[in-house]
Amino acid sequence: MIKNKIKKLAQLSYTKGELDGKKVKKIANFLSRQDLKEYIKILRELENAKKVTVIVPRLYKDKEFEKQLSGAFDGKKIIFKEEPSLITGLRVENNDLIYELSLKNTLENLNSHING
Amino acid sequence: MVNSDEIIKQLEKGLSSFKLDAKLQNVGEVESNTDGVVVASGLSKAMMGELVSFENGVIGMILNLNEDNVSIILLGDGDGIKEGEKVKATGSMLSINVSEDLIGRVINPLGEPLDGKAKPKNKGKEMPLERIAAGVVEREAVNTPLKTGIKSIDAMFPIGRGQRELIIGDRGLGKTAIAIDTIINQKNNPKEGLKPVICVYVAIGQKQSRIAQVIDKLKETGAIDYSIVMVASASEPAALQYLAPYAGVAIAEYFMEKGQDALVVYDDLTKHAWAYRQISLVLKRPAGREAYPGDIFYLHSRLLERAVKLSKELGEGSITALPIIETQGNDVSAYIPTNVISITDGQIYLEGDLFYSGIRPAINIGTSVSRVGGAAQTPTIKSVVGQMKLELAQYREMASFAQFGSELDAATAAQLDRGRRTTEILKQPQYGSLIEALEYLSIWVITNGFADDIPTEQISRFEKEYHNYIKANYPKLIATLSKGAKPDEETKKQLQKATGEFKKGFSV
Repeated sequence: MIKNKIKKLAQLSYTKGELDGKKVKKIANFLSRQDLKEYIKILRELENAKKVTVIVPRLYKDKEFEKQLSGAFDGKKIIFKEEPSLITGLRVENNDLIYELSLKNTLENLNSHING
Repeated sequence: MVNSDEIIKQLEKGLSSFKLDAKLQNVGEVESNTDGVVVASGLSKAMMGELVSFENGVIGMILNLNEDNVSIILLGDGDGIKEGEKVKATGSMLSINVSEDLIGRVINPLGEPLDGKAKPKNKGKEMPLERIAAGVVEREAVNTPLKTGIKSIDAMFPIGRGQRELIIGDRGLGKTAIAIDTIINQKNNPKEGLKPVICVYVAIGQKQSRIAQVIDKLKETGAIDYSIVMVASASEPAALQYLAPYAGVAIAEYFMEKGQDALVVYDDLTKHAWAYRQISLVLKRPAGREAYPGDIFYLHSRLLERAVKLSKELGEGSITALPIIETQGNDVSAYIPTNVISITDGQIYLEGDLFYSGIRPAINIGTSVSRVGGAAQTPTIKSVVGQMKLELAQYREMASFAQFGSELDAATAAQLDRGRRTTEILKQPQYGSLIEALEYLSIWVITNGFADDIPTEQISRFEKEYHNYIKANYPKLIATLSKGAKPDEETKKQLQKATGEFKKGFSV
């Protein structure tokens, strides 16, 4: 099946902006193994495009911060994840764009800058 | 012992250029890895020609931007790159770090040393591999000679600094020999009052053994002291072979920007076209004539356009290009040869028949041409070449009639004799480059009839001994002729006297 058709099927798998399990199951039954692979890939891309992952060193509730993030990434679902190795700061993953604002990253960059 | 203050100072110096800004990264995911080409999804902000890095440290360059994915050519070993692996865009285009420390070195197109020595410590300037050539306003006409030291070329097809002169011919006819002789001859520039020339020899898709021979010869003759050898041998990935000439010209541009003169030899562009064809086919670009992609002309035209003579305001630097093309069965009308012939400012055509009949360099005088070099020729050599060209043209015409065996009148026989001797004196052994004064002497002695009584087979011995005699007994004459001015009557008289003296002592 050509890629465009699979893409269309993936877009039709949503009901009111949410992935519909029933539709996915029905479509998946008709697809060959290779087409299914492509279908899953496109679904994953569509899902990734709808969410923004914010990685912080320690999870805590800050409504103001969440509001600011929602404003920055309009209409996207914000998911928080904990990663203590960041030390401080945060990393924002918006699909294929990553905003590195952590101390860990700064230290790594400093290291590579000094050691060439 | 290093002073502690010194250590702190160095650290501070290093830190001053460190940017603390937040970093935006554009990442992608490897979808497939076949034949040196990686297809990756994501990388939505990536640019054409941008460098990307893989998790294992290998770098690649983006050559195709599609709706959902990008195609990346690998510039290193891609065996360990797996599906699903992360790939990061670096935000920078491919460049090579160039400094004076590169002179005398053997490097690959990424600037990594291949001669077993350490990487140059001096942090030079990053020169982009792809750059738009200088425009018309920045250029000036070719006006300074780039002497090859080869009589027939310097006399009949002179090359100027900033020119693009193609060397074309079948395999094994001495194309590389001409280029190497030209590089070696650049050591004579200070003697002739000319600016030194930095030479870049770019070996593309060649056998390692042949490249080693060239490097040895450059070292043996001392030419390596002003040369840089760029190697992308036949065993390197096609991507590196494709990039090699661009890296070579990027190095030359560094020196050109400093007002220096540079010479780049591309040995050879046929293999460069093959490497690009391979990449294009793997990237699934539409194939055209001989399976070459549609932009094969642009591949070479944008490279050779970077050969330039800069204007006075920009420092008068220059890049002279000597591209080499290998033909199959003397076929200059094939796709790549015709492309490069039309791009360059002339060609030196080497022919098998001439080579095997002992005429070396085997330059076909009828089909070779230099379109702009004449303006760069010195008055010295110019004053003697006109007559020789005329005599050679008459000889070629008559020789074709004379082969029918009919009886010839005395004048025609004399013309044929002169032609034979001129052809003989234009022969020159490999690595036997001559300074311009000696080239002048050889041509002058023939065109003025001083060698008419010398048997043809003795001409080369006559020439050699004549050169030695003048160098030993009339060094002032050599110095006068080396100045580049048109020889005056006094000089000509002295030459006649000296030649007469030499001939008295020359036994046939």
